[in-house]
Amino acid sequence: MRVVRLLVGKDLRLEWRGREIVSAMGLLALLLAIVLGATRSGPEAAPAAMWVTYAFGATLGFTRTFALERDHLTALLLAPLDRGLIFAAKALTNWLGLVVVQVISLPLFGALFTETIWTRLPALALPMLLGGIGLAAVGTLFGGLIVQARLREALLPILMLPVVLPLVIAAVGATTGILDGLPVWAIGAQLQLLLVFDIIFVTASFLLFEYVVEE
Amino acid sequence: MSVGAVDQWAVEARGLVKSFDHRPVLRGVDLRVRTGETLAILGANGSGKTTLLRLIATLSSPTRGGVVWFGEPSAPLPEIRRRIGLVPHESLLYDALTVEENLRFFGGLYGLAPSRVESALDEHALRPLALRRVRVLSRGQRQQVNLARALLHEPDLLILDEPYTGLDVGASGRLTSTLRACASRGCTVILTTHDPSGAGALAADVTVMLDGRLTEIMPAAGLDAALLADWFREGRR
Repeated sequence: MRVVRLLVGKDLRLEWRGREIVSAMGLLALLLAIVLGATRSGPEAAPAAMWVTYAFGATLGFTRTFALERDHLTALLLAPLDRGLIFAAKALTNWLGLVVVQVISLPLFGALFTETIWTRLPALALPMLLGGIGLAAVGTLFGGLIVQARLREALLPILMLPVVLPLVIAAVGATTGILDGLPVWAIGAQLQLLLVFDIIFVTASFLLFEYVVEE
Repeated sequence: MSVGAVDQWAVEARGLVKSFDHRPVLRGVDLRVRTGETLAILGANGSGKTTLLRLIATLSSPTRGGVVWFGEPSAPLPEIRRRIGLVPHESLLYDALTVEENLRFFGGLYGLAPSRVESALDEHALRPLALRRVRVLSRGQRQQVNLARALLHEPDLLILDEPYTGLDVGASGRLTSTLRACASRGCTVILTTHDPSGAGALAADVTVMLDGRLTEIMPAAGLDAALLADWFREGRR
C-alpha cells in the first residue's frame, strides 16, 4: 500500500500542477453532455447519455495518463516493485479522474435530462462506482499495452470500447432502473454483472501487467 | 551496498540474441564483468549498445541466451533490480516536480528514508537546486540529478548509456569524479559511449560493439583511435 500511495500521490501532484488530464476529460464530458442534452431527449435518454460521456471521457483521459508517464516508465519498471502495484496505482489515479468528471457532469445531466438524478443520488452512486472501476481497470490495462505505440490516442478506444461494452450496457441498465424509481434490489442482476466484471478485470490486469509492459 | 567476493562476476551474459520484428540487433553477445570493474562499451550509433544495456538492466528479455547477475542465477528480479542503478540517455525525471520531490519519490520506490535524500542532495552538490523544478534545469544539471537518482539506493551495478553526451567540460568532469567515487566504493560500472577518449578517462577496460557482437575486452590504455574509427565504419557497413 505504501508504494501505491506513493505512486498515486505523485500522479495527483503532477495532475494538480498540469491539470492536463481532468481538464481534457472534463471538457469533453461537458461538451458531450450539452450536445446530447440539446437533442431535447426525454429523461429516458439520461442513462445512455451519461455512460457514453463517461466512456469517451475515460478513453481520452486514460490515454493521456500513460502518455505523460511514457518517458518515466523505465524508472518505474527498474524499481524493485511488483509491477501489479504500478497497475493498481495507475488504475486508482484513472478512477479518481473519472470520479471528478462524473461529479462535475452530474449537475448538467440533472439540468438537461431529469431532476430525478438529485433524489436518487445515493442509489445512483452504486453503478457509477462499479462502472467507473471497470472502465479504469480496462483502460489502464490497454493504456499500458499501447504506451509505446504510435497513434495510441486512436488505438485505445478501438481496443477498450468493445471490451467495456458489457460493462456499459449493465451500467446503463442499472442507471435506468434507479432513475425509474426501482429499489436497488430490483437491479441486482446488473449490479452483480458490474461487480463480476470489476473483479475479473482488476484481478487479471493486476496479474498481467508485468507482461503488458514487457518490451 | 553488498559487494560480493572479488572474483565474483557482477554480470555474466552468454549468447545474448535480441531481435525486433525478426531483425536481429544483438547476434550472440558474451560478456563477463567482474565486481568492482569499470567497463566501457564503445560502438557506433545503432550498433546495439542500448539494447544490450536494457537487457543487463532487466528492462528487456533476450530472444535467446541469458544473463546472470551477481553470480546468483535464481535470484528474483525485484532483488536484482534493487542492486542496479541506471542512467539512460533520456532523463527519467519528472519535469513538473522539483529536484527534491523527484529524489524523494524515487527514494520512496526503494523504501529509503527521507534522510537518505537529504544526504544525496549534499553528496551531489544539489542543495542549491533542490527546490527548482526539473524543467528549468540545464542538460548538465539534469544529468547530475539523474545520476543522484540512480545512485540514491547505492547500487552494486551502475549502468550508464552515453552519459557524456551533451555535457560541457565542467559537467563532464563532475560526472567523471562521481563515477570514480562510485567505483572506488566497489560499485561495478558499465557505460556505453561512442567517444573513445571519454571511455579511456574513466574505464580500465573497453570492448567494442560491432554488428551486434562484442569484441574481446581490452585495456583502455591501449586504445587506437584510428583502428576504432575503422571498426566503427566496418560495423556500420
